[in-house]
Amino acid sequence: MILLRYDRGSLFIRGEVGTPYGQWDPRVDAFRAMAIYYPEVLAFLERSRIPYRDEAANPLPVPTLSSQVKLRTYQKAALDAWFDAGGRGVIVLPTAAGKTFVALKAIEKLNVPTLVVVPTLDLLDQWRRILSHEFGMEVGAYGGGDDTLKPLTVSTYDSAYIRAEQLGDKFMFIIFDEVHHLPAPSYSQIAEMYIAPHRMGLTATYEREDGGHYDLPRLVGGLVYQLGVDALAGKHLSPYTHEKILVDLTSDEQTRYQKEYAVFTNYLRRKRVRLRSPYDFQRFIMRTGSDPEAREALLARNRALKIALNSEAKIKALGEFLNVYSKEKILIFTRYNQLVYRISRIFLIPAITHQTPRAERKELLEKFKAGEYRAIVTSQVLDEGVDVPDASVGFILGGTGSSREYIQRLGRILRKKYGKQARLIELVARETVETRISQRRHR
Amino acid sequence: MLPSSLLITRRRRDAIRPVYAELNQGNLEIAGLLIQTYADYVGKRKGDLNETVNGLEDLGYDYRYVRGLSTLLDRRCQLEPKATIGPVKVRRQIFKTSHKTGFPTTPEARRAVLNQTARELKLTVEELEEIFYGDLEDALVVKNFEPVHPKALVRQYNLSLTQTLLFYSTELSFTTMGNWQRIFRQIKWLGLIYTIWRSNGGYEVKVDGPASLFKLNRRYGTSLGKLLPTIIQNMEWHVKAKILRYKGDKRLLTLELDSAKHGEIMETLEKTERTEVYDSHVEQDFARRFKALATGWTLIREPEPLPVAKRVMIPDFGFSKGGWMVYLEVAGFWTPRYLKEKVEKLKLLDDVDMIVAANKDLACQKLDKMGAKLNLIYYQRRIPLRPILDHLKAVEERLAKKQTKKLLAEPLQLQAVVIEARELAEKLGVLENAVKEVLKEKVFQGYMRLGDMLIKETKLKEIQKRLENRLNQGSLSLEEASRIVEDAGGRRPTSILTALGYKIEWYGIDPHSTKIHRKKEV
Repeated sequence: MILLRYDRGSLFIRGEVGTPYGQWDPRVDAFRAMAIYYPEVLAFLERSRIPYRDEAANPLPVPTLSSQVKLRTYQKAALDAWFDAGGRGVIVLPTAAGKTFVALKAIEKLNVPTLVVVPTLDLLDQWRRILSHEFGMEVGAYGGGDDTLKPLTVSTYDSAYIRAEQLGDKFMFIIFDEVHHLPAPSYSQIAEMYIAPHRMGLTATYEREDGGHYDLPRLVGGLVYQLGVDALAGKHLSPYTHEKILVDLTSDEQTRYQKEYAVFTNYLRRKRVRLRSPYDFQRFIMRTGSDPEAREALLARNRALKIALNSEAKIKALGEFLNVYSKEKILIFTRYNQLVYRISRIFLIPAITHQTPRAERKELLEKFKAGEYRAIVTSQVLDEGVDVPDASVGFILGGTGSSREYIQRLGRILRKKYGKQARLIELVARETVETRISQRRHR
Repeated sequence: MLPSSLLITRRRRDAIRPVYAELNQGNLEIAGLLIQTYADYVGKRKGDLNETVNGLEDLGYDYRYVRGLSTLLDRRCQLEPKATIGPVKVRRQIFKTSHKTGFPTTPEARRAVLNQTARELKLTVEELEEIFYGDLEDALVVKNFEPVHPKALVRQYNLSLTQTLLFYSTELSFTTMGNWQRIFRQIKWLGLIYTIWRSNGGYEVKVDGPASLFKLNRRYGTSLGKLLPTIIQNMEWHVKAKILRYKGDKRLLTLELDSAKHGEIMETLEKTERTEVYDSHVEQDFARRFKALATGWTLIREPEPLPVAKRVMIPDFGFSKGGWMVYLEVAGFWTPRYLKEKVEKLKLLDDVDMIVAANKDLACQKLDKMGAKLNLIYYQRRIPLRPILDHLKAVEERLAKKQTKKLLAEPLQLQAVVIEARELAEKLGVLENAVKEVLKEKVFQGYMRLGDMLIKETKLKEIQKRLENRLNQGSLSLEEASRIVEDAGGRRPTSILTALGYKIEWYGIDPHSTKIHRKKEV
């Protein structure tokens, strides 16, 4: 008789025979396997007709789930493809294409305890709200101070990782929202330490720059359905335009910028340091720990960047645009919280950063949705997937040069609004490194 | 623990170590300066404090050291918002107004919005501006700061550095003196797995986690870091960790620390008692009552771990006497399964004698049949002494017999001129009773037995000679005779005097008023 037990993120297999993926653990005199292989181990035991007792899964009892969700054609196709793949796999849909609905339908059909893993607290709130609304039940949450366990539970990646040992045997279905986060060395352990046989990954961007997506088939299942932005634009999503406005720094800013940036470039030239790749840059950063000059150079560069990003000229330009778009719903993105608060104070626009109390953040988003607020200024916290409906104009005031970030931010304002064209306006300081970051973003 | 960006390490080949702050004058001065700064800013804005502290980063010290110290000091601060009316409420009102009027894009329009809001909230515009984002960290006020000694701060910094480096560890091995119960309890609580083996007369413990089996991972680094303070609370310890660093490639480095070199520079400020710590009132009460009895058994709190198969068992108490140990395990909450597992474990151990005291009120079900090895006693509120004393007595009798038999069977070489049963028992690591029995039955060549004392015959002769010399000069009191015996290296003068055939004549109860006679004279 083989005994299967869940032991702190792994499968504990006591018995005379080994199983696939099982390794002998001399510390406890038993076989042990990663929890992710639970279905494979079970299938092997069944197939080989080996008697066993399964104490590994401890699923929470689930009431019968039913919802009012009606899927669009492409959503239905995505769901079918996922079920055809055995209830495992990654679905790629552009932001705002209703990935959530595909997941809701899957939960309803499987009717098993389900964990939804999300990258941000905003998404945590959003999923919780949608799940409890659709299924009419209380939804558990881990992250941002919550820890309640329910048959349907939403967790941040961090909490799901930290709590893997305790939660890993409780769910039969696990959904990774923004699944491109998963293949990181630590987060991938979430997939490995939970037994859930059914897995769904959702994202708008399958590829990772570090090639990590090659690990997704093992962790979640292969790519089962993909639809690009262009396929939806105009039909389900509003089309958008993108403009880049170059702003001249004020002459004072220009002087300060050049002075600071020169400190940086002089250092590089003097020490013959070349910064060609992110790795070069990382090495330079490490140098700043022991070399005070390098540190000063780095600080000067940061100050220069800040002058460009926080430029007075951009604030002025933004003010002019606010007058122009006085009837539109507006989202303003900046890189630094400091600038968020400056804009909020100057234009009296509601602000959201990681420091915003959770209740207030929720209230702000709800009021924005309801049209009681017309604009929100925010740093990067809204980056992913948060449902901020029908904003028609977006401003970018500085940001890091990642192409994914660009897509996600874009997605935020791509909401279907009949007869309306969404605009994304990027304010970039002329003749600074920032123009280069902006170019990189479009690659 | 610190943010990893503040971790300073030095690598030599495959060894890695944090760059510790020495407890030298310079380091202590900057620590003192920071502590003073924090104390000075009580009642002031956190943002201003931060700015001042930033200024201290460029005094010629590594900025990571200064920032590390201030990170630790931040945790000793209590912050509170200055405003009385909630900033959230103020913002809600401002945004409501600005939505109605449209976002102000000129200073005048802005002023108008604020004026209107201020009126509605019955505040001045200045107050409004202050409260607006008065709940951001920079705007918060330092309400309280718990000061700390510079030396303690620097030591805690060094400990935090080590813990931060342990974030990247894949496993940790250590040896230590004592503290076992707490260490193993913490290992269990942290969800870690240990392996234990004997080394150099002590034990070495390796700690990692379940998933360590599959691949090198740093998942347990935080937990291993949390274990460190408990280990270093001992006087003597040695710690070795494997550190996984990605620098271009994966490298496994070694961190090695020990109390002799690093004990002085590290300390945990969340200190628990180094001495006996009792988990419950029941245990403490038991220890107190037992010690008051003077049974001759030494009570040991948290004796050395007993390796059982691949686990260890650390009973709550050990009773030691004559080279024998009886263990006592106090089971507060228990189930038959728990006790059965105990028995299973005990079966694997030869020569381990354990009493389990189980709380009757917390018993989950009645327990009748248990393994023969388990001496189970029940208790309510306090652990009864009687059954334990009975058990110890029985053990002692049984043991004494066994030891007597063994001692009689083997030759005993004595060197001492005089030796008592108690001393001999101690020397041989056996019970005194066993030795007494042996003295009765065994003849020791060249020695004479006086009660439970052995004395060399040559020594007796020497004493007799001295006494005779003295007696020839006149009468002798017991007091003086005793001194003569002891000066010659003898003990228990009365026994010796009697054995040598002298008689003591008492004229009162005072040893001065005595007279020693040769027996034949009487």
